[in-house]
Amino acid sequence: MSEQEIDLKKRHFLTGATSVIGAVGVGFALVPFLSSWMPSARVKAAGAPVDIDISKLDNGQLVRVLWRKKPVWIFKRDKTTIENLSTLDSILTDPDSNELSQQPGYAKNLYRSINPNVAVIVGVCTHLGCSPTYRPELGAADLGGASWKGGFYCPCHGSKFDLAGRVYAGVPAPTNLVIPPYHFVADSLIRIGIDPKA
Amino acid sequence: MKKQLHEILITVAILTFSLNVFASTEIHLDHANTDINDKKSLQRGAKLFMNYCSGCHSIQFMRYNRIGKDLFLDDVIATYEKAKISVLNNQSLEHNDLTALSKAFDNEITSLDQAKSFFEKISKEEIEENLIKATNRKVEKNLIFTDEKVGSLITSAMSVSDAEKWFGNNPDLSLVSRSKGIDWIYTYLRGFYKDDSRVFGVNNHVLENASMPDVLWQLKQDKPSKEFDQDVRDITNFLDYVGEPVKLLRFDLGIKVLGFLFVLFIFAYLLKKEYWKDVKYGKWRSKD
Amino acid sequence: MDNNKNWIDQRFPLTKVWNEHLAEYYTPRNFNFWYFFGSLAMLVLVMQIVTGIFLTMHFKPDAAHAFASVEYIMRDVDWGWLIRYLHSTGASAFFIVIYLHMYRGLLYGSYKTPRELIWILGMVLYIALMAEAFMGYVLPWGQMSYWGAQVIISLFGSVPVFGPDILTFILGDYAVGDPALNRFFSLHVIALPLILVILVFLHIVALHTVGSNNPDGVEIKHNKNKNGIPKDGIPFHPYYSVKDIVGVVVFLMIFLVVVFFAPAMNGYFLENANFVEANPLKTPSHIAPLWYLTPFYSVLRAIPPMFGSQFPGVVGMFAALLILIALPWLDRSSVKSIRYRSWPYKVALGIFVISFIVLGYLGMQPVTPINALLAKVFTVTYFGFFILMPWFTSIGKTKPVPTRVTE
Repeated sequence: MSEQEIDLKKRHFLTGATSVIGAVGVGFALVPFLSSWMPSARVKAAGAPVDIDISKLDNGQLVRVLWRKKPVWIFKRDKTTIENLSTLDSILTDPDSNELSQQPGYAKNLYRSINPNVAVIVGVCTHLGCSPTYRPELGAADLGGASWKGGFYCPCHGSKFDLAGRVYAGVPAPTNLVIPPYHFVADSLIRIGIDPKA
Repeated sequence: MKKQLHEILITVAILTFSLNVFASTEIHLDHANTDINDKKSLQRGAKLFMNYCSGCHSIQFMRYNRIGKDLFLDDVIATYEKAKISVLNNQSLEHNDLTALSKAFDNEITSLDQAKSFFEKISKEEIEENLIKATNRKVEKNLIFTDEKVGSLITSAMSVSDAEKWFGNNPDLSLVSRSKGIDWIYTYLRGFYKDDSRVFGVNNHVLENASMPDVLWQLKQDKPSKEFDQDVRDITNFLDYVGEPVKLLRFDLGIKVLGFLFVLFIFAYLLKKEYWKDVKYGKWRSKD
Repeated sequence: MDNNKNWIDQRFPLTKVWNEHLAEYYTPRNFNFWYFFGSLAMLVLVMQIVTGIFLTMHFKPDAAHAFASVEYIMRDVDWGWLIRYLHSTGASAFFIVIYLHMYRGLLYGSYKTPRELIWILGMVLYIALMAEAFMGYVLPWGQMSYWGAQVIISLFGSVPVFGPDILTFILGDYAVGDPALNRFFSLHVIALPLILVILVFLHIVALHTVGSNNPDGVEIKHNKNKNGIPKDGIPFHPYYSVKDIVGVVVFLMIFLVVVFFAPAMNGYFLENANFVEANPLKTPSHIAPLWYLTPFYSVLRAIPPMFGSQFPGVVGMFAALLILIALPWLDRSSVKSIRYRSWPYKVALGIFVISFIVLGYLGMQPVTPINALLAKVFTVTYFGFFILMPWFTSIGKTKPVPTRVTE
């Protein structure tokens, strides 16, 4: 048998076919390993919706609850606070909440909430994930004096947000704070984690 | 070579057999004869377990919603698929169909037109999610008798200290099918007999002086023995599933994986044969 | 492409290594079925490391949580059950492959000159693998994990004088408990795998220095052509690489049948009692180590206590293991392969294999008078194989060994 008699075409075809099928097999085999990094049933159960009763909450008072291991702020806004929200457009990056991924459709409004009086916001800075502090006092000297109408200040890199979670222009955080899915089960009972019915 | 191996194997076989004859002195267990793929049996078993056993025994590694997804979701999907076909064929919708569609759209559906309009605006994923939710509600209604959430582990209603006071111990049953075997469970549950010397007035053929009352006695009394045996078989089947929930899918998956490997084998074998032609003819190709 | 290759070759001997160990590594052309198990052992090692890495991400080495965390892997982690079954079945598969690999060595005299070091490195590997498997079996913290560990570690307690201190040192406690679980976890996932990988590397370096033996026991390097290439040799790549791929696929098919259809293997790969959480107050009615350790466990039980001590049994058990290392020097035959050996060797090897299998079987069974007697008999034949080897390998008529390999 001489070299010319070797069917090179056949050899190349079989090498290719075996390699391709083998690679597909390796691809299949990767699925279980990569999937095992996804949230497990336990984590999902722990990430179930959270209920919070706001009947005892005063105006301006803020409570934090953990939902999916993240702090969620719930606070009531009084009339002045709500009126102030419409005066800030010029110093905000995205006053009309055009960045759609930051809130569900039903919270794309001036107040970024279902009910203007009640704010529900994920308390995680959109810059690098610190949790901003609540600074509701008007005209705080360290936060710009008279122009500060109350809001949130991130201690890590100095990002500022208003009381609807909208980000100030010229700070490190690029987008507004996230509004989680939530709905009112009753007048003063909020369920965080589930959208209201269409 | 081959002959020698053959001889070794035969000797070993004879030895193994003769040793086994000396070894068996265990209690006779009836064959449970369960079928893990029988969803109806598993569903009945789940209900029986939650009614008769879960008061005292936990299955602490099992979650309610897993049972829903594994045992009840198929039925919910099937009724939905049936309703969907009716909608697509413009047939009049029965009460069952309307309920199934209401579940799938998570909205009250009362007419064919309404259903059609929903099909246009709702995605397949949303329907899937809604059906899972509906299954969870079904589980909440049928299997959860406490205020547990559907994602919770199934712990027993009885506190551990109460259990110890009353029975000594009542073990968790998550893995009983794996440690004792299904035949044992099946025989044990059917093995109670009257014995007034015991606290609960019963004793057991399989587990002498068992400290458990015969919780199924009412079923045993009310039903023909064949039906009672089936009830016990259903509970056994359910516990088999609880011992290893993945049993429901690993057989099917295994067949697919082996099928794939067989295809790979054919190509790998042909490749080997092709290259080894060189060796067979006493010459391999020098390197390129 | 060629430029890149040159760039690397100037800095790292890539082409050289490739050629020396694959493309121009000349392997006897007459390998048979038995020669698949070396590469298969490598495959299983890699598989165990990969699945082990992923299991470690979910397992909790804590006596209070270990058992539950294994069930968490089996139920709550996506695909965790498959990764766990691959790992638990892989452990048994590893030993099946290794035992066949070692038996191949016995059949064809692969331990004989000049391959003594390969054999010794292999034996050290085998012992390290046993330690690795034993510690891995403790981790699920079931009844068998716990009591198996208790029994095996108690062996060290029988050492005269220092026994009790050694025991406390190993356990870090007065009995098997959280400290033992924790340190076994560390050894199982870091120390021993590292040692195994290094030993495998050395095993292969030694092999590639002297070259592979073959079913004829002929040294192919003694017959080279004018280019210095063995006449009976073929390059490992592509010939044996394509052949080993077939072996790998067939192995995976058999392996996955177990994984998907009988992962507990009727209690042999995953013991029933290990589905009950460890309970220091209650020993299971019958305990036995996993099947791959049982031949040696049988030897332990077969040797009666002397002078009120279990120690002789423990010595016997370790002797049964370590005596394998002396094999290259016990074998006096001038012939390597079973094909040309004298009949006394063939008979002795047959008896040895039977002894090993029967001892393994007996190690899983409860002790009865007849089992105890059989264990004693086969312990004697087991050791007899080694002790009498210098004698029976030097008698009987061997067949003439050909100068070239046969078809």
